[in-house]
Amino acid sequence: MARYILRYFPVAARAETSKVILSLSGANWKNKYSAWPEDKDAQPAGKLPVLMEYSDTDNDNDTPSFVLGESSAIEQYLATKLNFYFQPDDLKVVARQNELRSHIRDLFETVSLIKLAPDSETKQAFETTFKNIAAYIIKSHSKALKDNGSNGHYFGSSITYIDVALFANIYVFRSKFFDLNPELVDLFSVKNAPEINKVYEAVLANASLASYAA
Amino acid sequence: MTNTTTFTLRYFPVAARAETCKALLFFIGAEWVLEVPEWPQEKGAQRVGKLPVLIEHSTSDAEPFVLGDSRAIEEYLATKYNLYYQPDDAQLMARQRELRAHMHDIYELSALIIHAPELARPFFISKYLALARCVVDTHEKVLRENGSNGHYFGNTTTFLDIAALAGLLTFRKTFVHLVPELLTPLDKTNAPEINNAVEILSKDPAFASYISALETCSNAE
Repeated sequence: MARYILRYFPVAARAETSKVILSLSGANWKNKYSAWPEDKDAQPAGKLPVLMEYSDTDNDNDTPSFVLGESSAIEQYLATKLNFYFQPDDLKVVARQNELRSHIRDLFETVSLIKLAPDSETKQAFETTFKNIAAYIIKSHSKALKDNGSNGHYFGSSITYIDVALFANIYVFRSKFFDLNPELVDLFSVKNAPEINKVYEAVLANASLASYAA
Repeated sequence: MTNTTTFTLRYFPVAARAETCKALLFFIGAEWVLEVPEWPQEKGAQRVGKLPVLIEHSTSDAEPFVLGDSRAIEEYLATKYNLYYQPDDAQLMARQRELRAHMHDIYELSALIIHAPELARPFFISKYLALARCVVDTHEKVLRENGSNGHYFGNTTTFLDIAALAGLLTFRKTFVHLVPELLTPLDKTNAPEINNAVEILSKDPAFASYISALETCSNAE
């Protein structure tokens, strides 16, 4: 049976969706934190996260059988391999899930830019962008969730990939690391985005995610 | 009754985020049209207020299939028309998605540089140059290891090849006017394999219509 190491920084950010997929799947996995920037050049394209997959051995010093960079590629690989896509044989349903995932990614990338912004004017510009895109995404995703019966899932009646992605990113937006303007965090409050919060609670209720409730 | 599929790609009349979508549609020989919406009047009518949007009209389906987001559209077309290399190999698929994501990262950062406040531009250019160096090194190695034959994998044109062609040609068309230094990491000196691949691919008649359309397309501002 495969085991995984996810190399990233010790923060809740770009790798969070992959971490939740691994946790929910019951896979044998652990985090590995890199010294940065010392380890940068040793990573694929100089970036994190990186997923390392090992065949069934116990020794971390074994060469991984597969090394994959890019958070989106890692997520899709894990979501496919660990059966998190809804109806994976239906091309259009998979496309819809990838589309919804991209929306959520747009929000994260903007949050990332807010944190990275080198000056207050640029930060405010990115905060305005976040508000604008969040308005559209909350409206569109809330409709999709209502169309699925307001049961806390985007598709069907059990946790699938997009539920996980939404949970992980809401968790990230609320985290201390990004220290996001409370006005922006509030866009995703229970009052302002009730359907989205049903998804958050549905995923959080899973016993393997107890650390997220702390 | 024979099933007929046609496409509408809704986007601005510029060479920007939808170029790989267009290149895919041309390459597969699809019957398709570009629909240019009134903007921002029609923004609210789009799935999350953004473009591109792909509309698939199939005689076998009661309603058209509407899909937003350039990445989702590309992935859908590449899968539907069997343009991934060895799609049954999960790790090879992941590798192709990883390499495509690198190209997305480069594009998104370049788009940010063009649209970000002037004060922040030097900061993001510095980030871009560091990212481009790492990405180019990785892609040059992949192309070399595949025999410098103009393809990322195998010896026929696959999704990554199409994305590389569309990406580099769009960069050359757009950035030479806007922020020329963004093109430097991707020029023939710094990215010989990528440029060689695009040169080989450009001679493929399957790309003639795409290249012609790109040449007459307006530049994004």
